[in-house]
Amino acid sequence: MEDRAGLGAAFPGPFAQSALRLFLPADRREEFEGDLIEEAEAIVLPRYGRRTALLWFWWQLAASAPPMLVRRLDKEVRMYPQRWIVPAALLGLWGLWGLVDIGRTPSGGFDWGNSTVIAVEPGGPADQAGLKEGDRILTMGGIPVTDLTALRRQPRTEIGETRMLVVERTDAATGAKTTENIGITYFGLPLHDRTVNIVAGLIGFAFLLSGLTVFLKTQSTPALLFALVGFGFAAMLLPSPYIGPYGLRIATMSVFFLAFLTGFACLLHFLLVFPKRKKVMERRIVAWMIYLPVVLLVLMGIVNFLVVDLRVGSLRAPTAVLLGLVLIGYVLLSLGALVHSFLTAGPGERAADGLNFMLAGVVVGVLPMTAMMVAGLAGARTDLLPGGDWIFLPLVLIPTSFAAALLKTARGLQATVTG
Amino acid sequence: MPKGKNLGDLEQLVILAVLRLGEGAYGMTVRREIEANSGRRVSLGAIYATLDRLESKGFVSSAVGETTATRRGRAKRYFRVQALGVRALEDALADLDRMRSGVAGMDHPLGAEA
Repeated sequence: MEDRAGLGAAFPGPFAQSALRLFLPADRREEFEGDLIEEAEAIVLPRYGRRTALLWFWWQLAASAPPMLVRRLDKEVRMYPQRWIVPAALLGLWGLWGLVDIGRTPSGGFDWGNSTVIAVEPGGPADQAGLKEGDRILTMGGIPVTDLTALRRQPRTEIGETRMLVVERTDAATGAKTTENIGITYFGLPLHDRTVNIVAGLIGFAFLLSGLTVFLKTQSTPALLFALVGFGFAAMLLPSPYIGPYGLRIATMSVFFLAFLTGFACLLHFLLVFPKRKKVMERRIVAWMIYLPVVLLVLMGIVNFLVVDLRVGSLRAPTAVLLGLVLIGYVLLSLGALVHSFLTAGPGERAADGLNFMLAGVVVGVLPMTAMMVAGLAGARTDLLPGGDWIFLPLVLIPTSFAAALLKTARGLQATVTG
Repeated sequence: MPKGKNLGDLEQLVILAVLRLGEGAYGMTVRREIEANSGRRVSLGAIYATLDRLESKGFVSSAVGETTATRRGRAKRYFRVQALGVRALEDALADLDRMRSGVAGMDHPLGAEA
């Protein structure tokens, strides 16, 4: 026997109301609460009893939060597309600052990994100072290379500044080990590195502007995803200025890297819903799975960052491998999705949906660098190629052709609605 | 059919439920109608999100209704399908029909015994 007071005078209680306030927009809260109360008290309670009715109520509340939150976020983002101009402009300014900073970026003319010198640029600062490939670095600027945190905290070398390296050199013939003090006077970045950075910046700007332009014109889901791709890739490709304070530097790098990873996930998501939503996306779990690797890598990155001083290098290798696999996976799946869209569309659809544009953009964009890579693998001296530093520039065709396709379909839609 | 007007699975069910319920279509009844006829367990939040999306596309309209004692004084929001929504639903169902017509053994209405 249930009493006439239903689930109690205080039902649904302040806690439930706070939860509702969190995820429901104000203009839907009253009717939502009313619906829940009515069903819980008038239908579930008389049939199944008090305990089940309460359980039912809370289960409904919990299950309602994700769809309502997503809807609310989606509405906020789409309703005010011009709000996106501010972060885009800030990111653009950041990139411009980074471009200027390229001139102040120092170069020692050598690469090292695992405390061993792996490459010395001929004629560069390290070469002039007498550093050799295979030298084992013991200290840099007085700091042991095993102390990664201290190394990272060390301020950037100024151009013209001399930094002392203590290295252990093994004589190839006798096997005798000697310790050498080498003072490297840093130069500016060599022309090749400057050019590559500038090209990366140009590609970054192309992504940022394409994404923003499309999103300001049309607020469809693909446009939103493409705008996120633009932000993510711009964050990583735009040259970053040097940030002095260590904590701030690590924080910006982490945020930008996360944006970059998310950008890849959004790219795959975008190509799975544009120009047509693919069948595989009908399963809700697929959308979540697209973003799962990003979450996984972030967790591994946090663990790495926290324990890296305790176990130098031991955890970094698996993360690097996983990162490589994830990025390759995103690229291949994205490409597969695009090719699938192209192959399954009729000639008319290809033109109307801008698929011709997109595929041409990708092919022409990656052709020069692919050709160079293949030539390099075949043993050709690709570094002698004239203009070889600009080989990545055609990649700007990818964001611009995608943007053109999105704008084309948006215009097509408008014509159908008004026509 | 123009893109962006494609109806999702749940959107079709929600429009059909609102049509079936006529004057009595509000959040709770829509949810129960779908659960009773399709067996699909949907949260009220998913129904609200879908109705909100349909409303922003101009497929349904809504109006605040009366308050009742069973709702502890909270008002209802009634929904009504607009002409645009009916057209979108018809298009979606016609797509299905066309796709179905070529499938062997499916020339009779779905769900009926052959």
